[in-house]
Amino acid sequence: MSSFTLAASNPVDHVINHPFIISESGWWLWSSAQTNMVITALILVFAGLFVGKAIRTGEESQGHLRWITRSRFAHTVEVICGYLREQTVRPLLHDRTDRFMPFLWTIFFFILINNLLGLVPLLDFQNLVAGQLAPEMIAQHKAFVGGTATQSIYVTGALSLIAGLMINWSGLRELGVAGYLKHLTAGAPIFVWPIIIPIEILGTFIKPVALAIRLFANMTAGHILVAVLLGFAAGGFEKLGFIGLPVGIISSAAVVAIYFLELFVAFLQAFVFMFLTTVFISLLAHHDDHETAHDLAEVGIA
Amino acid sequence: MKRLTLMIVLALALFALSPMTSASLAAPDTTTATDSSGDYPGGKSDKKSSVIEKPKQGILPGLTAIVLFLIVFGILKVKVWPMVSSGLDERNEKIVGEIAAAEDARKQAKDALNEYEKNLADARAQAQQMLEDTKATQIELAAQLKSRAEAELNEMREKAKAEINAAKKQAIDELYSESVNLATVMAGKILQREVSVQDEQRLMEESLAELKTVNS
Repeated sequence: MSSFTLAASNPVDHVINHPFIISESGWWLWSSAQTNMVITALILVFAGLFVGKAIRTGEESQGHLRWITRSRFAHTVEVICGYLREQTVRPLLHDRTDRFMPFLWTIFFFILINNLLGLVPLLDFQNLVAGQLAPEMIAQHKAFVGGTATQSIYVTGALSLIAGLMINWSGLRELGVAGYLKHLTAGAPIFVWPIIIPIEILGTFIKPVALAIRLFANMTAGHILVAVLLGFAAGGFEKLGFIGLPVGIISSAAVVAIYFLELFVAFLQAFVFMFLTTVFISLLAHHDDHETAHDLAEVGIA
Repeated sequence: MKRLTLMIVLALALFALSPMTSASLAAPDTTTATDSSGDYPGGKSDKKSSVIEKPKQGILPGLTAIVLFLIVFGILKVKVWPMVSSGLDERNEKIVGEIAAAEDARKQAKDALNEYEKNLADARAQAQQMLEDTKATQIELAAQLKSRAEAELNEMREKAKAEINAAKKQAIDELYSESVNLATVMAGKILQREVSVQDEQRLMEESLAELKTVNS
C-alpha cells in the first residue's frame, strides 16, 4: 500500500524545500534547506578543523613522520585541495591564486557538502520519526531537515550573488575603476560600443545567474529522476501485478545507478561552480586574449 | 563490497518504508490537519507543482545561505585554510627540496664516479707506462749488466791470461834458471869424475826428476 501511495504521489515533493516555521504573512522563517545548510556549516567547520590539523606539518620531534598527513580522510581532502589549487586555479589566476583559494575552497566544499547531504534521505528518516511522534507536521508538509539546499534557486542565487560580487570586486581591484569600465568595451572600436557595452553589462549579471541556474537545474533534475524511478519501482508491482515486477526490479537497479551518477554530479557541480567563478575572476585581469586562451587551454576548456 | 551491498539494501529498505510518510506529505487533503503552508509548491493542492519557490518561501533560505556561507568562510579562512595551505606548501617544498637534493646527490655521485673512472684510467695508464718504463729499464739494466759482466769477464780473462803468462814466463824463467843451475851442478859433477853413458843417462834422469820436483 505504501508503495502504491508513493507511485501516486508527486515526485517533486521529494525534492523541493519544506517549511518548518511559517509566519502569519506566509514567510518561511525556517525550512529544511536552512537546517541542511546549518549542518553543512557545522560539518565544514568541525571537519575542517580536524582536516587542517591532520594536514599541517607536525612538530619536529615527530621526525620524518611530521610530513605525513595523519588521516585517510584528511589525505583525501588534501588531494582535492591540492588538485583545485594547482591544477585548476593556479593556471588561471597565477600569482593571485593564494589570495582567492580560501574563498574558492570554501564555496566548493559548501556546495559539495550541501549536494551530498541532498543524497542522504534525511527527510525520509525524519518523516519516519515524525510519523510516530508528530503526524500533524507531515500533514502540514513541514519538515525540519532534508531535501537538497542547493536545489533551491534562492540558495544557489545567494551563492551566485556572493560569487558575482567576488568576481567583480576582484576585477575592480585588479583593473581599477577606469580599467574595469574599459573592460566593458571588450577592446572594440568606438562605433561598436553601443552594442558591446550593454552586452558586457548584461554579461556581468548573466554570469552569476547562469551559475545559479546550472546548479539549481542539475540538483533538481537528478533528484526528480531518482524520485520518479523510485515511483516506478514502488508502483510497478502494486499497480501491474507480476507484469510490473520487472519494471520494479529494473527501476530499483536504475535508482542505484542514478544514485552513483548523482554522487558524481554532486562533485561535478561543486567543481563547475568553483571553476567557472575562477574563470570569470581570471577574465577580469590585465592580460590579452592570447594569454587568456593559453590559460584556458592549460586547464582544458579551450 | 559487503559494506556497499549493505548500504544499498538499507537505502532501498528506507525508500520502501518512506512512502508511508512521503505520501501523506504529498496528499495533505486526505488528512484532517489544516494546511498552514497554503501555497506549498509541490503538494497536490498545488496542481502546478513548481520546483521554484515563491519569494516568501525562498528569500529567507537564500539570506541564510549568505549568512552561513560568510560565517563558514570567515572561520575557515582564519582557522582552517592557513593550516591546509601551509601543509600543502611545506610538503610541496619538502618534496621539491628532497628531489632537488636527490638530483644533486646523484649528480655529485655521477661526477665522483666519472672522476674515479678518470683517475682509474689515469692510474692504469700510469701503471702501464711504469711497467713499460720498468721493462725498458730492466732490459737496459740487463744489457748494462751483461756488458759489464762481459767486460769484467774479459778483464778477468785478460788478467788471468796475463797472470798465467806471467806465471808461465816466471816458471820458464825459473826453469831456465834451474836448468842453468842444474847444468852447472851437473857440469860440476861431470868435472869431478868421468861420466859414463850410464852416468849420463842417470844424471839426465835425476835432473829431470829434480826438475819435476821443482816444478811441482
